[in-house]
Amino acid sequence: MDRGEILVKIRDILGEILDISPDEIYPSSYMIRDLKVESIDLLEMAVALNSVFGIDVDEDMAFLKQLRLVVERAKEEERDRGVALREAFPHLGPERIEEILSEMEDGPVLKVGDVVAYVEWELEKS
Amino acid sequence: MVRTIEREGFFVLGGSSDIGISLARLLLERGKRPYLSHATSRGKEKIMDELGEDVRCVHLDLSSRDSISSFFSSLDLPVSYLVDLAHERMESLFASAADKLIYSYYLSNVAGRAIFLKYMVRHMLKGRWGRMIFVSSCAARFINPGQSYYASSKAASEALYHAIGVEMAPRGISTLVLRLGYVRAGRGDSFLKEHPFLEEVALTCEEVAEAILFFCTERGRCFSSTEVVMDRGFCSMLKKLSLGGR
Repeated sequence: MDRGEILVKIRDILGEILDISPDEIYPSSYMIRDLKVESIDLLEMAVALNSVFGIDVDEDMAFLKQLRLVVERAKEEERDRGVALREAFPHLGPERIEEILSEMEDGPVLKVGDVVAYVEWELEKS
Repeated sequence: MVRTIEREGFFVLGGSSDIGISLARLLLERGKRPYLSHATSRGKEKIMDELGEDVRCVHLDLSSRDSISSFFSSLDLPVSYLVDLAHERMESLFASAADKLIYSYYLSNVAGRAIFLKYMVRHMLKGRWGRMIFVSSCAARFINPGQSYYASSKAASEALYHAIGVEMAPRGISTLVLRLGYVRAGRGDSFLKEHPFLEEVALTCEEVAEAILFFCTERGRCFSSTEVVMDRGFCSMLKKLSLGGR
């Protein structure tokens, strides 16, 4: 399954959960800032991802739940924050990691494209 | 009392208990074929002896993550109703219990239940509908000497169900805790023989099963994320007789 097919399915899942048209959902949409996703929606999404793609979803990883903690810990340990994030979220590319680091102060950074990348990474593993 | 159970998929955790058997009988009378769990081969035999092939039996041991995982991976029907009757007895003065026993007791009765419920919530979430009834005990509120572990694990389990009810209400999953007084079954039965003055407040398994069934109906679902005491005034008697309570 390629990234485009994964995106179509994820847009359908999110559209149903949020009761909005999948056409309003883009890879660049911020899940929390733009789509107003709540924690219960993420739980429902994890269940749907498991069902649709047959993967065991690590919610911390898929939804970048521990992101700020990883960054803070790296700072405390005087490690490179980008390296720490790449270790914690191996499904994200270097460009996206840089983008996350630059936009962290603006609010929750999780994008639809991050979830697509996670599913693609999980499917490649299995 | 309206007793229509609209949906299919009735799962009874601790199905080999006397209340579980009574409940299964009521469901069978209403054309439902419940799913009953048992933790031991003796439990399975009891279910088969009492109910025959009419019910579906499944092994589930809450102390084992493998058993829980295996249960959910082989679950081939949507569960709409969960009735939780599973709870081991443990009687010991608080400071007398063996360390190993304390650990294993909470593992199966609290931690194992939490893991099981996590997956059951996720299972019900797929259909955005679920009704969970946890059958608790007045001991969760009124602790007598020797009941510390049993009572505290019941109280912790009640809290799990309350939390699920609060969190999952927007997704159609509701919970209820039914606190029972003395029941003419198992340990309750032998206690009643020793304390005959409690006979008049004792409940029968059939009465409890009827109540559970009501709480699974549409009208019964109005009771949500709360606890209902079914004890014929037993807790009030406890206070009056100073047998216990806090």
